[in-house]
Amino acid sequence: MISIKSLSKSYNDNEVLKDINLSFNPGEIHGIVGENGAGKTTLFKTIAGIESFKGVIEYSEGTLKNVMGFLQTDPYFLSKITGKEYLRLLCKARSQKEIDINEKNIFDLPLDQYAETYSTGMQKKLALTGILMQKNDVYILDEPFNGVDIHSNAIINQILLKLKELNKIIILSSHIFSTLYDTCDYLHYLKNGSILRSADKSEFQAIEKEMQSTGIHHKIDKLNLQ
Amino acid sequence: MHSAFKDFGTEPVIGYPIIVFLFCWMSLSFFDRVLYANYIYIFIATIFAYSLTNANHVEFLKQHFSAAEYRKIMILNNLIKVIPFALLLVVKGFFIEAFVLCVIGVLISFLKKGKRQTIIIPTPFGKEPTEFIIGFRKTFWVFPLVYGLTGIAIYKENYNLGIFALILILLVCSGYYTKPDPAYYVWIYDKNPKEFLKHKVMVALKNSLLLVLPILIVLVVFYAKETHFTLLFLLIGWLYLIMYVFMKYAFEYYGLGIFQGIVGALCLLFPPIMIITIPYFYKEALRNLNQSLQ
Repeated sequence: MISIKSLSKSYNDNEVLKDINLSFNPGEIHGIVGENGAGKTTLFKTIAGIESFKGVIEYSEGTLKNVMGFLQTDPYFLSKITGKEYLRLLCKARSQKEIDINEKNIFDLPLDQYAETYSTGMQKKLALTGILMQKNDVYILDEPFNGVDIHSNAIINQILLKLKELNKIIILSSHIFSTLYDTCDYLHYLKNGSILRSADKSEFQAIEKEMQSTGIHHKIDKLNLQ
Repeated sequence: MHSAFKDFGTEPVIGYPIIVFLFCWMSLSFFDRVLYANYIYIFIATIFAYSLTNANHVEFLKQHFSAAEYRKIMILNNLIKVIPFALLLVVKGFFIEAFVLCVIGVLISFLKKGKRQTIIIPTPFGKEPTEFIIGFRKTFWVFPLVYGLTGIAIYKENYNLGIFALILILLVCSGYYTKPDPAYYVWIYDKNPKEFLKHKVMVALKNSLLLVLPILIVLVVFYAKETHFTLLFLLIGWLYLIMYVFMKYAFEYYGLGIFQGIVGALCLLFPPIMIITIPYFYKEALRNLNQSLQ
């Protein structure tokens, strides 16, 4: 179980995360929703330990970062590294040995090409394949469906359900509500750095409506479209 | 360079004179100590000018200027980069070499620097996909030249040239550690900072040994009496490489390359400095890695 207590994060005077309290159990899929700039990526980076923070993040099974797979919104690939070498790097970093990379290439990626030349969707699929090969217990997936084709989206959905079945902890973000309906057990609505509301499946629609209603008409009116 | 000084935390007013002084001092020392320095100096200047050509910058110029203006800017850019080297050659009395360098400066502005290279250059480092894969793919052409130099060293019975080739390989390998890793590529390791640095050093030593091995074997076979000297130079070269590994993780800011270059040049001229720099950079690297690998 991961429990987050009173987590805050500031960049100089700008407080981007304010008193976040959340807990994630094995076998659960949690979705973090919010507008761009709400603090989702920062929240993920603090949970992963990439960013410093104030507060407490506890993991009952040991060192969290060593069993965590983190899929970034825009995965960065080192230049002149092929897809296969990237996957090998991720496996080596987690002391994984004797992995048949070609067999795990479920998205049929051109693994012998440089990863930096992949399209956005292919890069996301490569990064996802990498963290799946690491055999993690916790997965943080920042926009896993973004830029990915429909067929691969369906595969990712099934992967998420399989991971849930395997008792993994999964935390993800997405702007596509339908994908969250299909996979998540809980949603947390993040706004201006605070969790505005947490809800189980029965209240997902209410969260979606709440998000859509927050000032959309007012903002469009401001455009004064003619 | 102006912004690099700022990122480095130095006022450009102070930085420029320091750079000019270091450049003159290092160049003059280079000419005093190295055989065929005039030829090697041209080679270094060419590499310097070419490597500073940024593919994105070139694309920007192409988009915003006419073909003729673009060509003028590129030639001027490269001439500005090689002129300090050419002036040094003139000072040392190598007028023809200075002229050749300026011609090379003009010629390299016609070379196309690809934004994304798609040809996959095979490397012997596939099992440990780290700096050596990237570095080798960028500098693969250096190795045949340096191995050729070793051949000349044997043919001309010039042991010093052989040692120079050995050091050159280790210098090239040290250059693989001049770009900081994005935080994610450190974070992914299930190691604490000490284990991480040990792993990085071991990979650096193992892979560099693979690259210097042909030279090492040749020198040991043909200059058996000087084997202890050869091994001493290998050891110093490795210490130099280890220092670069630690430096990579000791600091996280742009301008790292310039700083590493200055420290590297000082240690090259006076290797005993490494007794101080290696432990210092090791401590700084441990401190810096604590955030990502705690």
